[in-house]
Amino acid sequence: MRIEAPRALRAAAGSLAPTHLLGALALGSVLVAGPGIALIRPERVLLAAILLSVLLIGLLSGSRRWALALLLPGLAAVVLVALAVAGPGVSWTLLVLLVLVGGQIALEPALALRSNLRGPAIAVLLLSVGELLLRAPNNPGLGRVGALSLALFIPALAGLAPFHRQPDAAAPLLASSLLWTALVAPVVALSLPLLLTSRLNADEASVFSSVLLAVGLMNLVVGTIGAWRASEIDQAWHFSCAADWGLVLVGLALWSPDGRAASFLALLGITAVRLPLWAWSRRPGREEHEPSGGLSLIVGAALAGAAPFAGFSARLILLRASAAVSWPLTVVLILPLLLWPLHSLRLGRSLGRPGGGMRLGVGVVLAVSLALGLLPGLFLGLAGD
Amino acid sequence: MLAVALAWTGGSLVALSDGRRGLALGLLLAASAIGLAQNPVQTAAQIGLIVGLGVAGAGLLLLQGPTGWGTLAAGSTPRLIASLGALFVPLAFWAYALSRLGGPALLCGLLIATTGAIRVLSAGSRAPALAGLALLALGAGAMAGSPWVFYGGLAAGLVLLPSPVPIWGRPSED
Repeated sequence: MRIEAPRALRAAAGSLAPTHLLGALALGSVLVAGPGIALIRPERVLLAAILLSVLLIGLLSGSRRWALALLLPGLAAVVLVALAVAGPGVSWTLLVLLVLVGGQIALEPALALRSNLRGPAIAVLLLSVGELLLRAPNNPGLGRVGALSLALFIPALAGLAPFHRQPDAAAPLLASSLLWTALVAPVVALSLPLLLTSRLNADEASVFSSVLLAVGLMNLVVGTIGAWRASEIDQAWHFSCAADWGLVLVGLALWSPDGRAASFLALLGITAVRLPLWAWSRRPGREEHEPSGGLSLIVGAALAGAAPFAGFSARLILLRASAAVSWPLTVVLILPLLLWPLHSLRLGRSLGRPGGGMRLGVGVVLAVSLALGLLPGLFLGLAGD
Repeated sequence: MLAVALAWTGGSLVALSDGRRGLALGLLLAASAIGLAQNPVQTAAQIGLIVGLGVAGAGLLLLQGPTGWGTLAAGSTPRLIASLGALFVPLAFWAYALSRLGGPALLCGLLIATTGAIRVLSAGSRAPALAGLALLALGAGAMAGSPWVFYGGLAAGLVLLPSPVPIWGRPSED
């Protein structure tokens, strides 16, 4: 049964002008970056990158319908994510995540239920249990289980292996796995370890790190091979993003300044480069085998982390950080990195021949990727590292 | 023990029901259990508020979703097994050391959140998913300790979510 929106709501949506949307976006920027908001600097940089991506996706997609359908819910999601990490503790994060899940059900319940609501539901449970068990006084056993729950929370929230689910290619953008994998989870994943550093003892920190390392390596391998072998392009995008997340998790697991820097750069790559490109690859009316131009080759190279684009610096710093810990780990990391180009060119082709505004948008994203690759120190400096 | 029994019964009822009566009664029992468990950090007013919000959520659930109880419908065997499993996992924690953390209140929270997650994971339509999410909110709130009122409000407010707006031009299946 088709449920029609009330006429007044449709009329209101129709009367929204781009100026209204820009005004709302400016308000969101103030909320995210305002001096009174308790966000740490890396989170602010990531949120700014997400805001830029939402703006690009909405305004340069060449369709007013897209702008209306994406910008306001997308902006609301960004503000909620900012609130999730700006709050006083884990309970606040939990509360906002529940609101986001509810919002997604409101947007498109049938599709959200079928595909990507499950990871966030498990994530909420894992975070609640982890937070509870870490409060156990003088009980190393429960503390370790708590650290395990918290480490598994990140892949569950982002929809990564072992919580990976088949993405629903028919799902609208904000009801798809993209919302969690590339918009919500990056900011939460960055803030959680910083929030927990003071609470985990050495024993719990080692459990947290080793689980993150194992899950990170699993996602690197599953992501690169899965994206290469995927039959549908949306699956390939999801797997490729999971591989990027593998780099992030390994970087976080190393628990070193270099590891954290590599994770931050990889997360910036996901939010500022991958998020808009993935969104445009799902634009209505796009055919998978649409002819592509030279631009798709450059996009493929950027997604593969080739020099001088964004992923290259993140990979380099990560390899340096891992070599400082253990050389076999570096060897294990290099193998999936060599497989990466196999699927990236296909992802680049999935954009087809973007026209008009979207072509400009892809150009802006490539410029951002280039800046991230050439000037990683600038972004790390902005983040305070 | 009464609170723990109520929490599990309520959570399982939500997990095993597809009809509005079963979902509403389950949420009501779960909210009552959290109220009865008497978390030491709560005042009587907070307990009253959380139970009140649970009752409000249950009342709102009665207005939507499939009619009747819809309990133990065909295909609910996996959920039944998971509900029984949900009873044993927190009990194991409790036997180990959970009682030192806050006793029955936290155990109730763990039971309610687990059954809520089971419901969300197995939901195929809007009303059971929202009821599961409301349970998850109540349970997470009970375990988190702090902003209880917000979690209770969320549990009630989720049920009020508007029907989907077809801004994507695709028919909704619900």
